[in-house]
Amino acid sequence: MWSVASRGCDPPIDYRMSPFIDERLLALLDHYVAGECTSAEVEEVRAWLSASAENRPVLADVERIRTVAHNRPPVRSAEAAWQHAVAELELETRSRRDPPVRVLGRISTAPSRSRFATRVAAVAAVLVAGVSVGTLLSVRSKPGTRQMAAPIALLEYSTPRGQSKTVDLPDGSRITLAADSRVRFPGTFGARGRDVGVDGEALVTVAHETNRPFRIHSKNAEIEDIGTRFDIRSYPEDSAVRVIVAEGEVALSGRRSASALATSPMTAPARRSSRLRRGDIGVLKQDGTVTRTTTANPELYSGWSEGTLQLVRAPLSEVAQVIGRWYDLDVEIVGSDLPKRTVTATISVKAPEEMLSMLALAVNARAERNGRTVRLIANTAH
Amino acid sequence: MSLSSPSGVRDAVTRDLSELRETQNLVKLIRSGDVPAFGELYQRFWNPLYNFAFRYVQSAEEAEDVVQELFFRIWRNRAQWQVGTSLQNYLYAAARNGALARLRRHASARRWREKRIGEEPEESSVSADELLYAAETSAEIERALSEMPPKRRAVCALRWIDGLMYAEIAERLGITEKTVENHLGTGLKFMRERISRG
Repeated sequence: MWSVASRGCDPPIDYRMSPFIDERLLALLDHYVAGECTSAEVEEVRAWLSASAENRPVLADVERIRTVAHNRPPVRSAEAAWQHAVAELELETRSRRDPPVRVLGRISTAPSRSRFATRVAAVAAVLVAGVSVGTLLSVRSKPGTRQMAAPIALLEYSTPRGQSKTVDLPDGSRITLAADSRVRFPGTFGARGRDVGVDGEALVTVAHETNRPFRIHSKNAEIEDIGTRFDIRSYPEDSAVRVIVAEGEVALSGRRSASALATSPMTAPARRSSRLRRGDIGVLKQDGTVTRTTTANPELYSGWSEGTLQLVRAPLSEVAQVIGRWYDLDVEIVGSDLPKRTVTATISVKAPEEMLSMLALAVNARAERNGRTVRLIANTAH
Repeated sequence: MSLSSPSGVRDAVTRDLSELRETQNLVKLIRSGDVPAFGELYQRFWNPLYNFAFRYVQSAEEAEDVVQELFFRIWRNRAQWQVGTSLQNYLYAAARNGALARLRRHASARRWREKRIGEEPEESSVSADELLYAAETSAEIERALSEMPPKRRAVCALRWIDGLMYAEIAERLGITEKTVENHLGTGLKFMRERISRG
């Protein structure tokens, strides 16, 4: 017989379980609150509850703990608070004790190709020099800031057109890159946060850790993982960053433009972030505003990771881009109104011929292929 | 209800001698004005303390202010900064005091407005004491969450924040479902012990 209420003076309760009753019972109660118990287990719990007045508070505790843990406070940035402290207290952050770090490679981001470069420099201005350098993406000294340029270990994976690749991150998270995309992250994440850069499109599955937030940076967007699986789309030619959540929750926020940060880095405002849950689609524009829509089927948008591309009322001009990316074909559209025709279809990434003939049919055109070049000619052209 | 400190009289739970040495070292460095060490304080404690303070003041901006005030005060008086046996206990007690001071200021400001301006008193079905008790408990839970060892914390986070089932957690972390159950049970036991009963 084992007593469950450790602090009461109740008689021990007959309870046919193993000796490690406290932990097992508590785990059982957790199941019970989550509605996962079998009917036999439900009966056990109910019997236990009515056996003593001391027991109901234990259940209440479990409910309480779960509720409090689940209702997270709004996300706020320790980095921004530190930055504010540096300004307010006039701290000298040039460090003379930089930890030794191995350089595996330096990223040189081409500014014309992606705005990630200016974005990263702005990020560098707000991070602490000399401490947990492993979490930085890249540091370049800029005139007017007091950070020192420091070499850091940095890895980059990229996919060419027509290919997709899955990459495992040092913390167990997983990123599947779409075609013509790239991901950047340090060889080891630091103790305080996991920061990753993405250009293009990626499906992200995050290994959740409460004390190490996971953040994706792309253009002006910062996407922080609160829970786990989302698709981010941010090609250089896109004017906005799109995030679709398949599972769990993320916080999508946009920084002020890189140039604004460069002139007044110490007054970064507290970012308002949009919480996105499963089925939400958040689109972050360059000005930092987020528009939201929903979809009942978020997996549709990351079908590319399993070989199907989803086009939803996509204008042909966009479809041409998508085809270029995934099939490594150059698509030329002939016909004045053809680019505006829209396509809604599911296409398989593996079968270009089939895809082309279906596409041509859908927009009332014909497809002529010559090696890597495809011409889509409207049937009613000229 | 007594408002005695919720965890100040508990012994510091020091898992590692090396961890204790490390925090003592951190305090020493900050006292001597080492900026990166102060930055380390931010990186290690700002978020947990913010979450903790939020449970009292229920406002992100106020919670930020509480922690910033605390950290600024530490820096400005760093030469005389005394911490006692546990840096954690010091920080959490100070954060709690700061949060309660804010709540008191708000309450007295409201009373002043009610008297002078004739503002309508706030209707509330829950007494101020009850609200405060709830806040204390939530804050204790918050602190306990952040002080659990990493594996257990990961399991509890996936379970309570993301609502995953045992099988999903097991797969995610590469452990067995039995281990998940053990972590969860131990986590709940650990947390129940930390919730003060006033």
